[in-house]
Amino acid sequence: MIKLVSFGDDLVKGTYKVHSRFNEVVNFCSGSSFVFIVNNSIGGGPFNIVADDVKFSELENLVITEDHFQLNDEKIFFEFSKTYDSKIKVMNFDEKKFFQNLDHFEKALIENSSGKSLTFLLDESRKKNFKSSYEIELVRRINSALECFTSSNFVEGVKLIKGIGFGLTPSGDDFISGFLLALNCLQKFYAVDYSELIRHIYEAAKGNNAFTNAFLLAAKNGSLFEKFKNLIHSILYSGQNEILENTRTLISFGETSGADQGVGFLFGIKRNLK
Amino acid sequence: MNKLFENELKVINIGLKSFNETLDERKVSSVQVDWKPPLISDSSLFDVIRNNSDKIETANKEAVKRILNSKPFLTGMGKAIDVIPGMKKNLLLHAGPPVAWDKMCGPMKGAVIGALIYEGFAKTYEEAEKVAASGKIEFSPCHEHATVGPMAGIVSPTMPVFILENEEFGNKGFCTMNEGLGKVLRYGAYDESVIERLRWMENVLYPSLKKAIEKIGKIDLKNIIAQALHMGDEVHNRNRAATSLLYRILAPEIVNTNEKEAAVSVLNFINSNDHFFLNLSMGVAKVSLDAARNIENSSIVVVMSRNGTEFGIQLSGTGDKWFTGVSPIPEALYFTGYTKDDANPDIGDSSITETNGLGGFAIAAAPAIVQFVGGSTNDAVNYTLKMYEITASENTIYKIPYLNFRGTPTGIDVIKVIGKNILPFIDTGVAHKKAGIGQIGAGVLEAPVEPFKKAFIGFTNQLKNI
Amino acid sequence: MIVTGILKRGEYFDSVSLMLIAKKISELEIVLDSAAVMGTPENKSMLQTSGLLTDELQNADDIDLMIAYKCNSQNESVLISKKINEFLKKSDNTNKSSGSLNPSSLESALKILPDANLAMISVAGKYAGDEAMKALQNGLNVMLFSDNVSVEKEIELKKFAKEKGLFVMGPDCGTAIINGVPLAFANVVNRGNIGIVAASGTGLQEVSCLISNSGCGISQAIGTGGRDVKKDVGGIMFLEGIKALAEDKNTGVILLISKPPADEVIIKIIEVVKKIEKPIVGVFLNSPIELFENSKITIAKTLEEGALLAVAYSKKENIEKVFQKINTRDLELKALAEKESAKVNKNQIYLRALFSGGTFCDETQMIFQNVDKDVFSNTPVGRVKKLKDIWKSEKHTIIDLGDDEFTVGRPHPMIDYSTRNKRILAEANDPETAVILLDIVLGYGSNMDPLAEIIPVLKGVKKITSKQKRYLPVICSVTGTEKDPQNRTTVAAALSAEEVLVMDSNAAASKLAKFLIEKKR
Repeated sequence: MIKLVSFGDDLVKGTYKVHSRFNEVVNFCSGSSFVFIVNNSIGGGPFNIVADDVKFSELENLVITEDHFQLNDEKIFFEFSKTYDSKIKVMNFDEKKFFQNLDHFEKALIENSSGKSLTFLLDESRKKNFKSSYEIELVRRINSALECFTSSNFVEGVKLIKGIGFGLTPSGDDFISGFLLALNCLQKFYAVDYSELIRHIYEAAKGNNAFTNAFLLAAKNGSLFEKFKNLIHSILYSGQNEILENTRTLISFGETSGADQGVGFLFGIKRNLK
Repeated sequence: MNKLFENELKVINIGLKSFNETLDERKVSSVQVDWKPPLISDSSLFDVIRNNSDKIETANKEAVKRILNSKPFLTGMGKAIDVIPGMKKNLLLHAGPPVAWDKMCGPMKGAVIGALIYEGFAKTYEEAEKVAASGKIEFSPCHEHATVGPMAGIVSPTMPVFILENEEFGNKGFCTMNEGLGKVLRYGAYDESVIERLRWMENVLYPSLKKAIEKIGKIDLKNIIAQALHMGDEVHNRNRAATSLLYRILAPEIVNTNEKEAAVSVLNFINSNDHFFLNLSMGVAKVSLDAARNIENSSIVVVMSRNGTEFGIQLSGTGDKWFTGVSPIPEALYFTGYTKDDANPDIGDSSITETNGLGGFAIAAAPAIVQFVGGSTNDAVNYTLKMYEITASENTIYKIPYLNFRGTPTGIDVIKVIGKNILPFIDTGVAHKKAGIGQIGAGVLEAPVEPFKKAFIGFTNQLKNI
Repeated sequence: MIVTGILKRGEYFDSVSLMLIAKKISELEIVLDSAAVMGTPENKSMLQTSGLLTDELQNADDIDLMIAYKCNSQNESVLISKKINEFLKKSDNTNKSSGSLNPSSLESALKILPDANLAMISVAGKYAGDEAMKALQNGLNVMLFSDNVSVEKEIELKKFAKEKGLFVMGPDCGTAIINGVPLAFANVVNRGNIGIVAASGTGLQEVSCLISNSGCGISQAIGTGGRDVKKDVGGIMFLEGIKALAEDKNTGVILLISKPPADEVIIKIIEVVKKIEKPIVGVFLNSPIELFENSKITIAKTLEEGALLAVAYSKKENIEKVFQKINTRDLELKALAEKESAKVNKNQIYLRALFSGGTFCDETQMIFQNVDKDVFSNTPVGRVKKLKDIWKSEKHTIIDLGDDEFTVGRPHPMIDYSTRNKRILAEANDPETAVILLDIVLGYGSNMDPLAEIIPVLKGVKKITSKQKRYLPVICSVTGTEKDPQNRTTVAAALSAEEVLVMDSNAAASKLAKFLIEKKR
């Protein structure tokens, strides 16, 4: 008996087929829409359904309707109290605290992220981890992209950084997600409008992989996955210990997605205040 | 008459997986056994075990009973020279099996240097080195003095220690206070800051805690651990919950019995160290397992420990004999900038926690750690489940919520280790091989084979000679 | 320097796995440079810059995984490729055993399945005996697939099992069918009232299939391992099996299969069956029939005959009809043999029989041995002589490719056809070969795609012989049923399409070959 823990606020109705299957996640897709069925350790997201007692290896079919979802033969109703809210809540933005905490985050990122993540952009000494010819080219290209960002040539920069790097969602795309999320946050913090820029970056960043695009779209809409959301909230409201804890949770040792997003986020916040 | 034909066929398949796949396809109830050949192929030794199986079983039951019924309490504190049995003015205790100065690894040498400076035997590194090598200083394993120490585990005469009492059996145990992370003695650091901290611990932390504990009377450590297991600790690599629970018990009396400044510094100190409880969880394991020592014919392991050079074990039925092998370098995920080449071989008495059914054996209760080493929560569960194969019993007090509150695997039986070719699982921190740098990674490892082989052979030979 | 690219289409590995795979590849000593990244156009252009974009990888899509590496030689490239596939397999996300951990011992397996009643043991012989004893001590019956178990251990196990009323099937027992379940190398056959005790695995497979294909069925098929009926073990399990079938209410006919048992075991068998009311058929290949003269056992000369007699008893038909039918069929075979022999050149005079089943090798030798004085085998019985070089046929040659000398370091020929395939082509190249005789054994445990293995070789044979203007008949018995995973009907049809003379049984195939050779004289 599947037990619903939470469901995202961006689920699209429809009939879905399995896209990819992992130990604790099954990704379903229908056209360009995705729904991720995950267990508690992954957490919530705009198009996640978090559930207990799921036999991931047996899931085949998913249907989403107005009031329920169906996994194989089991029908489970959506309970409003279990909605996962994917948006950041900003009340009384404390700029000083935010930037102090942002430094803690940067430190935590440098200390904890894996060697091949984009954290080398924050810590030069990491460049020595990039040894193969592909990796050396990667560093070169990303630095070029950063130069474009610095001179506010965002779209050019995005074109250089997209689609490259490691992981199922390439490092460059994760960076862009983080960057887009940063722009969304700045809109909330300072009541400014970056919607044009966000749209241009998103359009330039889209590729032929519907899976990666789904994450980019979420970032464009300012919809965050639980781990990243908790991190941002702790940067807004908490202290060093919580930030360290949340950074560690975001970064799964051995891969780079979380860290790359984090680096993108940092650049998004800092570069945009020039 | 054979009932096989009358009942549904239910198969246990030991060997080729393909046979089991056929059974699955034909919907026959079956279980696949992942079999490995025993670590020792001399079947005559197993014959000896078989011929003595009743004696061994009885002895092991007694050993396990004593481990499970132990009641460890924190009852006080004292200076090592005053309370640790056999402590001498020129004696330094260290982690792991016996090791001479010249064979000690980097971190341990550094810790010895630091201790000698702390004790006033030397003023500089060079002096301390000379003193250590001079023969004037004696070295002995903590374990042989009812004591345990993490990492280098150096205990010197003037150091204050916790006093633990096993109320069920009356035996005592001792451990130092945990210094915290970074540049600390147990990782082999010996500079000014280390010595200063040790002095502060001796002059402020120790008397404050001592008074608080006296006021409280005694603290039920087993209870703390039992609760901590429900809160995501395994009390070897993750001690946050246990430290927090201890903090709650101590805080009021620390404030009550001390000056404000001292109380604040003590509370801050404990608060900043997530591993403060580690030394006590090691002490708990020590007094629980010591109660099960010297039971004739028992093959239960009472010590697993490393000195950074060798890994050593002791069995209940073989008295004070150490069975040792080379200490391995853990398969770890290293912090950025460090690799396996920088690592020190496994070190510390902290594997006493695994010996007591905690630490790596209870990792199903602490999935957060496995994330840190690149595994999934499923892996954490499987590590614990595997350990049930080599233990004589399941714990009656330490329970794991995710496994439906099943007791942790307790009472490692060397016969099962050798017979099933499954080695105890340990999760541990990894130290830099150079003194004083600190922790460079976290990982999991299997205990090495050699000590267990030697112990099995030693145990069996002993049986033969009876 | 060689650059190799591997394209994994639409395979989703999670990022942690991808990083680990990339790390492992780069850590291989012989890898000079490498990358493992998704096939986005941008990653492709980066691989291009690094000189790692192979033609294959050019076609990668965003959702494909590109793996590229540089090394020094083609050999190294192949090695690396193998390693990479290992790494990928290990990272397979949908492994079914991810949830549950398998127990590591019988002891913990029993905690999961406390009412288990059979232990199947296939670990190294050195340890198998002790595992079997543990199983017996826990009240389980044992099927002991392992060989290299000492005869002393076998006796100890079987004596103990007999006392406890349990079976020990083996050592070296590859086939059994218990409660309708095929165990290890066995076929999917009908359930029925014919019970079998067999000291020969292939023999059990042949008769159970013939019985099932005749419309009858098997109640129980108990394997005992080949050594059981020899002097030392004294037939302990063979006799226990007979007794069990005698008492089994679902068994109406008992069929016994073995190579020659020791004399004293024969006496014991005859004694035991005296009290049994049910009809008993015995196939004791190469045993002198006189020994069974006054017993209750109906003796069959071949496995086929044994199966058909059992079927007749089961259907309550006159067994004389069986012998008549076989005779009639043999006449048909003779006619076919005449036709075939006419097509063959006059210097093609020898039989080359290449078997994967040892019992078939014995049966064929028994059928063929009187045709000529020069018959050779690597496992000779009766009048047949020992083959000097097992890798080269001499005159009439009948070999068992499952024998140890052929199988050192490789899988059994029922699984891996490569050794026999090579030999078939060698025989085809020999201008003196008159007929090739083969067996194909289907069922669980055997190669799952025998046609893919054998059809190309058969085509190869035709190519060789037609070039040299020869006709070379190939006779093949196919042991199996339609219900087997390989489906006997499909296999037989495909072989017939290649002009193979497909026979229902090894005896029929052997007789056809024999008649053909005899006609050539």
